Amino acid sequence: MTSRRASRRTVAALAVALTAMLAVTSCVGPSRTRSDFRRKADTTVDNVRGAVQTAILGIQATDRHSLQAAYVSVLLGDAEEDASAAADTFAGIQPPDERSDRVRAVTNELVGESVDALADARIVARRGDLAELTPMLPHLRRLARRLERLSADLDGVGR
Amino acid sequence: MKRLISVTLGILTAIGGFVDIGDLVANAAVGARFRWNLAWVVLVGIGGIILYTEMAGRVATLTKRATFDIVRERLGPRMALGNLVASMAVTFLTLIAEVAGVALALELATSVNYLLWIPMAAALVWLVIWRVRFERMEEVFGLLGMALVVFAVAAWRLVPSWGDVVDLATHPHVPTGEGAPTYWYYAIALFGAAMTPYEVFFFSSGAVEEGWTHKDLVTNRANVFVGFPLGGALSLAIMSCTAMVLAPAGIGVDHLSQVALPVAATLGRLGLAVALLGFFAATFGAALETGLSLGYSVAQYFGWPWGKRQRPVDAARFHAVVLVALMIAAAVGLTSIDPIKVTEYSIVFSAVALPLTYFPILVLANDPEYLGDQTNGRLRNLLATVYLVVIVAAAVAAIPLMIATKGGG
Repeated sequence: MTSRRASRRTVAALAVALTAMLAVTSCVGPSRTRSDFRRKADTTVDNVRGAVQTAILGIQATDRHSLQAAYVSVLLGDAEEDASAAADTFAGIQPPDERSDRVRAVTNELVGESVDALADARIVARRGDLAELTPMLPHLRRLARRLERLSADLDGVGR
Repeated sequence: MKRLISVTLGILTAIGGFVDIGDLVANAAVGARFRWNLAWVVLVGIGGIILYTEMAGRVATLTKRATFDIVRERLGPRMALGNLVASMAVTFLTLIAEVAGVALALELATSVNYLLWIPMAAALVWLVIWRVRFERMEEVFGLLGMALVVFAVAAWRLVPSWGDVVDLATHPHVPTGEGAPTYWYYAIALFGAAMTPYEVFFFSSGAVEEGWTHKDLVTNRANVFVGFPLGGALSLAIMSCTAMVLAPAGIGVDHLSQVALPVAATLGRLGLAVALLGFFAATFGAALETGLSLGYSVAQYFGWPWGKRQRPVDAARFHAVVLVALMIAAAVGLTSIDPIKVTEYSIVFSAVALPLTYFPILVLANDPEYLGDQTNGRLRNLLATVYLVVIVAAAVAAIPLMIATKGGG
């Protein structure tokens, strides 16, 4: 009976440890310093840029090869989902001081614009109007360039 | 011809083991992030899985009993129980991911949300396990999985100079902007993905299912020496495709849709269609493997009748385990838990569980009571021991690195 109780305690302890470990690896902590906040902003911008680039590559390939609409709509939906998740996570982080508020505002604006553009692309793809995707490329490319510039700015200054 | 067909067991095991949903995403993600700087891990993984699967297959062929069955007898119920719990936990996580992977592959082909496909995917996997003969199952999905060769075709079109690639792959380094802990975390994840425990249990049980005898030792070797290098080559092809297309664009890989993108961009509609067929076959094959491995492990530990060669009514508990596992896997998948995240965790936990799986196999392969004069030679033992040291090191480092790098983020 004693050893069974000990086994149950061991299993419970392992379950708690496992849950804690999974939480630690998944959660985004608050930002206590300006440089840490800029790092998180930079990560967000990088993630959103990746999503925008995914959409660009996907639309280019569709234009060149007439890819299957089902695949394109899922690809663009996934890209929007990634960008949106990154934007939401960053929006929930408390800026440590007033100077970081500016970083937050600039990042949120550009990231929000990117999420909207990806949503527009996803809507068009889900409707099956793949020919309407190609005209979206110039705007997406401009967004990708702006995201890259912002990332370089966040990376290089004000640590 | 019979020998050629018998190699399909190795091919199916390799496809399911090397390019399941976890490997599809892990190899693609590593290629997009590290390019070829972790290609060496795939080669190390191939060596390890060939070595240990050959041993497990040899034990099964000569004793006509699967590995798990003998582990319990030889090393005692406690060791076997530790082995069972560890491998079951990891295999079950993988089953959840594979069933979701089948659903994701169907979503890519139909744009119907993957959650709607999960119950159907689980039911189809169960139906195939229940009704389709073992040999037919491995022939069909082993060969369909070869559709992933489309990645090799795309890589061939994309890479301008294979000499440069070989040079890069043989001079690995931690890329600028990445930390060493993240590099080694992904190395362990790739290694864990290559040597997942269920591959060994499936292969050795499959050898018993197919009724291999002493004469089939050559078949055993043909399976591992053809099947696993093929799986490894496909992994490297996936890695190369994303290294050439996604890495320059700064795209990370978090979805199966992104894994197919280099093939779609290079080979167009037809290439994409073949890639999606390959995704379906690989994840379905892996779901079959993991489902059966769960049944094999539990039934062999408790000494129940097991296997597809038995009539279902004679192996009812074996089939019940498989059925319940699939139902729970589908239920968990329907909670909309991210299947890619589940896969990533299963790969890392797999690395932790590896010593419990592979140490008993090494012991059995050296026991003349079971293998007669077919025990390991010195060279094989030396290699196996070196690998065991690597396996233990990976197991020890896996969780701390996962925490330190926040899951490779």
